[in-house]
Amino acid sequence: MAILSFLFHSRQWRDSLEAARPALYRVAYAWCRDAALADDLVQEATTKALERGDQLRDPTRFKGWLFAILSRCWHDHLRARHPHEDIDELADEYLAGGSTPPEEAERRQTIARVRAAVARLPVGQRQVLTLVDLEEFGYAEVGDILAIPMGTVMSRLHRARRALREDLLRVESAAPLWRVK
Amino acid sequence: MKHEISDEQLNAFVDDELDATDRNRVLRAMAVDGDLAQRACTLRLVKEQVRHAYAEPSAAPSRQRPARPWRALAMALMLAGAAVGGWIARDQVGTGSDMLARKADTGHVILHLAAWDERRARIALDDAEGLLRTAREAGQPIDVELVANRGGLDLLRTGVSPHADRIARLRAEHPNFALIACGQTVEHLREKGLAVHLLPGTRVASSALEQIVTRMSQGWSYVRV
Repeated sequence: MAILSFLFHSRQWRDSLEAARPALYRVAYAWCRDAALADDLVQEATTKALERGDQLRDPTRFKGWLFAILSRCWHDHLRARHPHEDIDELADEYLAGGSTPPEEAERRQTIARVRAAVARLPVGQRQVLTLVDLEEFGYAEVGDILAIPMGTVMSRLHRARRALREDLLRVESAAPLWRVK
Repeated sequence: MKHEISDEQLNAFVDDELDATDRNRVLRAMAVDGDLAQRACTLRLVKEQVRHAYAEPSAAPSRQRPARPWRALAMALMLAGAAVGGWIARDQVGTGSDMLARKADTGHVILHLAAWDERRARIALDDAEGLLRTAREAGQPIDVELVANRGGLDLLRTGVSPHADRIARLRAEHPNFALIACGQTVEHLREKGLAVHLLPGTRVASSALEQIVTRMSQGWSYVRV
């Protein structure tokens, strides 16, 4: 039944790529905070994944392999815009100060505030944080995806959460939506 | 520090990345150090905030994408096929397809489309084309029958099928590609007063089920799309 295996695998492959799109989009959006760009990045990543299927040596690493491609797509995009800067240290400065419209519902405000805080993180920290929190990748997997040592994963995650805590708690103290104590 | 739990370790605790020994160490330390427990709690809250902030899609991908080019799909099919016998390098793809064709020497596949679904209809044709082309390129053509019934019959109806041109091209390129309509579905539509015109070359079987059973008893591979 080699034909059945053939079809099963080809369909599985295509379905896997399709099924991964929402997760890829979510993380791409968390990285760049731009719906159109996130869409482009996902499209580029899935196209590359189709073309480079032979580079995936271990099928169980499919998801991490896909996110590594997505990460490289985004880095290429950033590199083109910031040729002389350290990509990992880039942050979206234009979001500083937060411009959440006051008429938005509280929940929306909370979401917008967290997203803005995430966007203010340097790229390297933002990627580690979103891969761990949104996709629940293990530290070792994140290290593989971003091609960085595990120690760097851990230190970036620590710095990212510390920055978020300070950022979010400062605002919370003015208008408490959730409390720590 | 009395317990020597680093911030990195505390994060690893929150992310469930510690092994049992280290996890116990952190738990014991938290039992006697309220401040440490508080920091873990705060980290957990930050994590939850982030998850919550992206729990629902912010904006659906806005643009409709064109269908993927067949070349890329063909390559994916080839590669996926190669996966059956283990992953191979790009420069060995030719070898992979040979191997595939040798394995596929039963040479007969029946594809079954039983409901109308734009995506599945496309997949059925992609599968048919991928199989026919790959096998032919490997020098060992195979027979592929596409059997359609119920809503799936629309794929084979003149004036209804959105893929009539593609099917005609496939038929012209591959004489070993056959179209089979379910006689019962055709009858059913006519009873409802609908005119049923099938694409050129479509054969009507007494029923899809019967055709499938017959083919399977003859050793064909059956694939429901």
